Amino acid sequence: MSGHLTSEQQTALREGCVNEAERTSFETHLKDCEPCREEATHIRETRRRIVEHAAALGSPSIANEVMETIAERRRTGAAMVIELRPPNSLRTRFFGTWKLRFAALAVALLVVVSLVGVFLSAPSQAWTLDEGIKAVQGKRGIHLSGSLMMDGNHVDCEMWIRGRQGQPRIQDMVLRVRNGVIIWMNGNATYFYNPPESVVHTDDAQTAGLSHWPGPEFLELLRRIVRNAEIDYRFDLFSRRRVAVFKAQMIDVGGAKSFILEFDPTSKLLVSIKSWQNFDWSGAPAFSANSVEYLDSPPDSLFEVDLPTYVSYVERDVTVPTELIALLGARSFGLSEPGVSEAEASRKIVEQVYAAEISGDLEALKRLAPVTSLWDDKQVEAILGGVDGQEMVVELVEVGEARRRGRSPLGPLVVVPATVRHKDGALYEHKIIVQIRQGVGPEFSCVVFGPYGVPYPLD
Amino acid sequence: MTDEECIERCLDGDANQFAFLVTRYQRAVVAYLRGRMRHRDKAQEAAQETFVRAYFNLAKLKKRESFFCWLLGIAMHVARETDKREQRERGLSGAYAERARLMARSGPGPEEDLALEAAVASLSANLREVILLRFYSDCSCLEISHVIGVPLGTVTKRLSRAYDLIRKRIEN
Repeated sequence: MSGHLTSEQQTALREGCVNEAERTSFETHLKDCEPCREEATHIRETRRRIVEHAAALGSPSIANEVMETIAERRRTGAAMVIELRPPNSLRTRFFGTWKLRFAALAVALLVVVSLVGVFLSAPSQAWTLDEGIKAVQGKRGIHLSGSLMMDGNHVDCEMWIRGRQGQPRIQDMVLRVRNGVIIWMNGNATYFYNPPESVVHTDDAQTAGLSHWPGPEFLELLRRIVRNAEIDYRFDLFSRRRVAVFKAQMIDVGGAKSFILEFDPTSKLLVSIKSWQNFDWSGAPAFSANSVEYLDSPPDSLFEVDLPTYVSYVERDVTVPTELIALLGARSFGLSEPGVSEAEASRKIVEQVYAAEISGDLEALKRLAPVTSLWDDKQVEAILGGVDGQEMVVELVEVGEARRRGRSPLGPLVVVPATVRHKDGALYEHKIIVQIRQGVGPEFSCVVFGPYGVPYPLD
Repeated sequence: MTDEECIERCLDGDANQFAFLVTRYQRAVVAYLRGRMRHRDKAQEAAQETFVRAYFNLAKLKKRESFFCWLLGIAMHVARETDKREQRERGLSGAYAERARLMARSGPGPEEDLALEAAVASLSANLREVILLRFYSDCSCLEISHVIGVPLGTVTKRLSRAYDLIRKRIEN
């Protein structure tokens, strides 16, 4: 052997990670080399110090305390959850954190519309509900320009939305982010394209948030479901005009949300949006739109998405917000069904939820779908049925095959499709997410989390 | 049983399997938090909280073979939160004074080797995890290479680099 042993070779020798020939060679060298023996002594001393410390530390024996705490939090529904820093993988960054923020954006936009209703119905010299409704009548689209928070940075984005003709629902949506990310809805499906991955992740439902077109019916609908709205006025230095400012908070199936929305007192239309995925407007907004433009009839070309031919399509897992896990795991909610399969239990709880909705038994509904217990009865009725009850389910026509689509800490997440008839006489496809709960209570049980996407017209 | 098997069983509803993971990594997590927080009792409390949070977030863990690295990430969050809470409660000056007092403690026995704990805590994540796994979770180098998914040679290189840095930081 020529020269000295490297510290890596010395460590490998010390850790027994060398073969027989290497061991003999290294040990022979050590006998004759003073500097290498000195280095070996350093390594031995450092190891000895660590070994002594580890031995003195003993076994902390925290397993029992940990398991008791877990059991206690599950029992009391006080499970503590945290948002971890996004890991290095671009895919998990995209779908782990930013995706959630997009969900917040989507819900924000949903609430934007609701707050138009709140605002327009509020006592004000300048505003009346009639004027606000008149302002959005005849419009069929919205164009938003702003920024999304992605991995700690604001990234410019643009979003176009088109309402379904003659209905309060959304027909098309596309969000284009400056970094190349595109999210769009086509039919009863939603697509998430991230260029570096060359993959389009898909949901077989309209999950990208905006469930309604902000028409007159929806203004009235959301006026009923948003709480704690505050109204104020300020003078905007950049546009040099007076704007009406709304602050609002809510908790829905997407978790806690807070918003600041600004309206033009002249046009009665929305002019800017900021949304946070927390309850107190803290930190940088997850989404901010500083330009909101209403369109009479957006052209089809706005919603066309051209992708490279080599992209692949991958179905996305269904998830539930971490802050709602404890609520879903509470034993006072859900359905316990000993001796039935996951699919049978899912089907049964979905049938019971619709039976509760059709009969107006909100108490049963809140027991089976605990997120609805966060709202009062009027809010639940407004969410289920729309303003004048046209979207209320009057008949459950068919329940489809349950399919496992994801997992939460409580157990598998199953999606159950159902064909239902609304009060307006039309047939719609609903998809319901059922949380299978393993280890909650002595028996197998399940609970309804909420809808997977929005009702999709079948006619 | 591997970490992946334990996690799979936990997610299938067998919560007791999580106790195996706690037992396997509790010493490493406590050692890391002691170095980070400089306080034995607080480190133990933070370690408990770390495992509890890990349990309730298990479904979010995509790379199950990286459970230990992920666990250390949670431990870091818990330690930061504890620091922030204490700073709020006592005021910044009080927190620094407390830290200075702990740093100045003299005559440590092997269990109170604050210099060593601080040196380990100051290593980069790659180096720290091999030290914690090797000495506080009693993993062989081969086992470490499986746990963190790197070749055996990389493990010994990292150990070598870690020994060197620990020695220098203790001397300083």
